[in-house]
Amino acid sequence: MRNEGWRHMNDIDLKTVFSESFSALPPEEVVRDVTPWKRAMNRVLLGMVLGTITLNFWYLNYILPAAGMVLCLLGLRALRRENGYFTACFVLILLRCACFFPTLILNTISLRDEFFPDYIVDALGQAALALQLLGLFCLWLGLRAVQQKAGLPPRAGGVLALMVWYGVVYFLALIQYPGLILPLLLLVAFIFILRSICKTTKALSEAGYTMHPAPVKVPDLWVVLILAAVLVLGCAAGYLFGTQHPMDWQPLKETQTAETAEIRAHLLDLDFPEIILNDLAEEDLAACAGALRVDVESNVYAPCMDDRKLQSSGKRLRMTSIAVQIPGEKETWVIMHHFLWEKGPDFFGTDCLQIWPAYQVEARGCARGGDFTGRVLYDQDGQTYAAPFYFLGEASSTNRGSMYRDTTQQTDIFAGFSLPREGENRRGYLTYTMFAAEEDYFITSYFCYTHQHTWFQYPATTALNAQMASPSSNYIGPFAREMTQLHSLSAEPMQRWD
Amino acid sequence: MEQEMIRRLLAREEAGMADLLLHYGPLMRYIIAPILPNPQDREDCLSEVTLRVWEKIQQYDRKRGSWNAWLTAITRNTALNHARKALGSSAEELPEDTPAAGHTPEEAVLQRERQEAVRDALERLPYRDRILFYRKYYYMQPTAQIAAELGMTERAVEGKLYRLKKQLRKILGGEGHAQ
Repeated sequence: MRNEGWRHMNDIDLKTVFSESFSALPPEEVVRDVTPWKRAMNRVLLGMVLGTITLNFWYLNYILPAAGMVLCLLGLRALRRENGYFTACFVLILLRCACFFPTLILNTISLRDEFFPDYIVDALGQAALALQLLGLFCLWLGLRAVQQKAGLPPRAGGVLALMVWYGVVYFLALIQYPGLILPLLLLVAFIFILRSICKTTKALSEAGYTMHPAPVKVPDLWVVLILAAVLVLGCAAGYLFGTQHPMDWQPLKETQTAETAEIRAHLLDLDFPEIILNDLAEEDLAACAGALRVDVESNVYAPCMDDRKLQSSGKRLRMTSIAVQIPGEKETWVIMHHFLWEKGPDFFGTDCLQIWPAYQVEARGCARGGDFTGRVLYDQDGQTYAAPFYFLGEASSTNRGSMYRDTTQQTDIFAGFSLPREGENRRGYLTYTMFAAEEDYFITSYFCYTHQHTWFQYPATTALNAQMASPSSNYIGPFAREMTQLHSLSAEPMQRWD
Repeated sequence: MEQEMIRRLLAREEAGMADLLLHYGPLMRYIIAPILPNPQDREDCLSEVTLRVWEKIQQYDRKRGSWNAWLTAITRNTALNHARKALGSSAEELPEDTPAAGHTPEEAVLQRERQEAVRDALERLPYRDRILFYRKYYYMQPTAQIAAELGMTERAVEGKLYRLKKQLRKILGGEGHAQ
């Protein structure tokens, strides 16, 4: 044919010429791929498999189920009008998506535990599993209906087997089955189920031609892009607005009285660091009235995420511990732990103080006094702002030994807070009172500061929760801990300032 | 199952016909439906296709293509012939699984050239575009059906087909098929 002929042919002629210009047999890949069912059904089956696989690395435990759910959604969207069972499957996958994708976004909010208690999360998880099992059952019925419509014997046992498999896995998880034999057997069973699902696909290669995919108003690609955009924007919003504890910052007012001025002057005489003295609240200052002795230990740290990068960290965190002996029937001490960011930090997420109080470390010689107090402060444009800790109190934490064998519970003092992005001289302190029950004693009080170094963590948590979950760990995801201690012997006053 | 059915058809066993209708009836109906809109015509065409398979089974050569490809070609060409008859067209009937030869040697040469040109042009297209082309011009599927099966809107399919035709005109019009 002359080349110009193709160019000047009108659409009708072109269509006729095209339709008559095919060689004898259509190519194999065309015959294989021109079907009404394959695209949709393969998506559903692949989505089911991806949703089942749990790989706990590279965030695949989130990525694979998300991809699986999108594939199921697209596949079932196309099949939803084929029969009532597929319609039910589509509704169920919509409900599952409505549970799953918001959860992915919520996982970027460190503070989600505040408004989503554990029981709601557990209930949602159980509802999602129930929806999944019900969805598999409906899919099994739907596939049988398609095969029966085509006059073929129904074969979709793999889907039903997967449903039973899920039920068994869930039951084992519920009873926290400790053994290895059953999980191994389940893994083998899963491989056989995958094989059976592949056979289901082959069985559909005959009956599937009777299917009629539903027309779409929004193309598949758009559905994927919209979902991805919502996820990305939602996660970005979560990381932007959900990474800090809400803090009640208020300008600090000068409320010095003659009495507090006297206490201040006395403490300064005992070598109490002036820079820390200025930070004390009135009641904390009052608690030090008539001080007999002041012990101080202060060190500077360069917090970083990884101990190998110590040299490159430009941050300076001064951690100071002070013991003030005050008069009383028993020998009484006010212990203060103070921190000051002399340089940095670079990222403002959540921070946490953890105190191993002297009366816990040396229970024989010491006893707990009153309540814990403290606050955080910063300066901006010559004005000092202060806020109470977001959380301050005792909490029990689980301390796991090596190989997860030696599990012990310990009760420490925790303070959770966030530092402001603006301002300078970010600092804070925490105090508690203790009594020396015996004469021959020494004070050892550990002071840990956990700082969030970077925004990326998934699922996100607060420094407080991370430290409570792993009280003995120095590096937990984006969090790193610095630890110092006050070690004071009863007979020797101490002033160490680095 | 497929081999057993072919063996039965070759052995002229009627059970082979029953197997053909049971296992490949949905495929044949799927191919016929877009070409013949009338349900009665479709049923008549299906009967004709099964008859032709029965008659031509000896011509099935596995080396030339799979059973599904051969059956697809027979079904499609039979349905197209049926559609032409229904329209009273005087155009020559398409043979079941081979390209139609022209009336004259010159026409035959022209048609072979055209087939080669289209085949070459299709090979230069991306795989997904090639499938789309076959759906439209080989299977004669309406845009709505293609859109639903590919998860696209009709408008998107039309746009893609328009660009595809433009691209093919360009390729066939000399850029890739210099004579």
